[in-house]
Amino acid sequence: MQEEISRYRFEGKIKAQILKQIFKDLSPKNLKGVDHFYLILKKEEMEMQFASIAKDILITIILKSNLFQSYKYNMESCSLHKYSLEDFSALSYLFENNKLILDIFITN
Amino acid sequence: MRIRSNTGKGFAEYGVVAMSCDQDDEDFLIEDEELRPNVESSMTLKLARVGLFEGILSYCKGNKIPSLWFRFESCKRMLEISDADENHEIKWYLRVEEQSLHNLDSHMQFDCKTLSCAISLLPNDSELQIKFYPDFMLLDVPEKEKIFTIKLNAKGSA
Repeated sequence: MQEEISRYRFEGKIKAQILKQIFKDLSPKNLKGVDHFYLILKKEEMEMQFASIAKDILITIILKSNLFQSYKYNMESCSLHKYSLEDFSALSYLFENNKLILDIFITN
Repeated sequence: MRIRSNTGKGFAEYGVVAMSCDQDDEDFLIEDEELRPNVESSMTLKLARVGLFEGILSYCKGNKIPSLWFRFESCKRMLEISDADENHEIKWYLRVEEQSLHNLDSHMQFDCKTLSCAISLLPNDSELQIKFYPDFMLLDVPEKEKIFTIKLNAKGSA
């Protein structure tokens, strides 16, 4: 189990409802000119920054570690990850049960 | 990123491949890092309900108003929201339940569409705490209804 955890830069458990809500309301349709978002991982919080192609940060969602059922980030400094917004639009359909707890793993 | 859920009768797993970040992305976000909350220069207001913004945002949508200006009117103890910095056509006043000022008295402009997205992420009936900083605001609800904190960058300030 110890080995499994150390492979990950980030490992967290969070309610499906929280992620679904973010990606449903912050869709490319609602935030014109946004096709990706930045995920910034830190010891105490995770930030999602939705930026326009012109590189204006339109909205930032800050998820403090206490919103997670468990939050493990095994790096000293913060790290930056970039994802396509389109890839997350499926989340609302994949995890229809709001009460589900999602395990999130980020490596690289 | 891998997202996994245990459905009780098995599990579902969804994988998302990260896009590559270039130096531009890093420079851009490091620059934003400098805009982190500074307690010496902020203002906190508490409003009775997130839903107080519903009518205002719906009016702006209907009348194609692109942005709104926010200012705390200290004499009235109201949050003043107008459609323009000067020569406004319409102005709303929302009653402030609690306030705490720390050397900040500015008039800030926010994009209506982004504001509308942000408000829709928060529970309508919750109290709304707004913290203003020189170039952005943080939107929050009470700890027991906590979903997340939202940060909105201002388009301009006066």
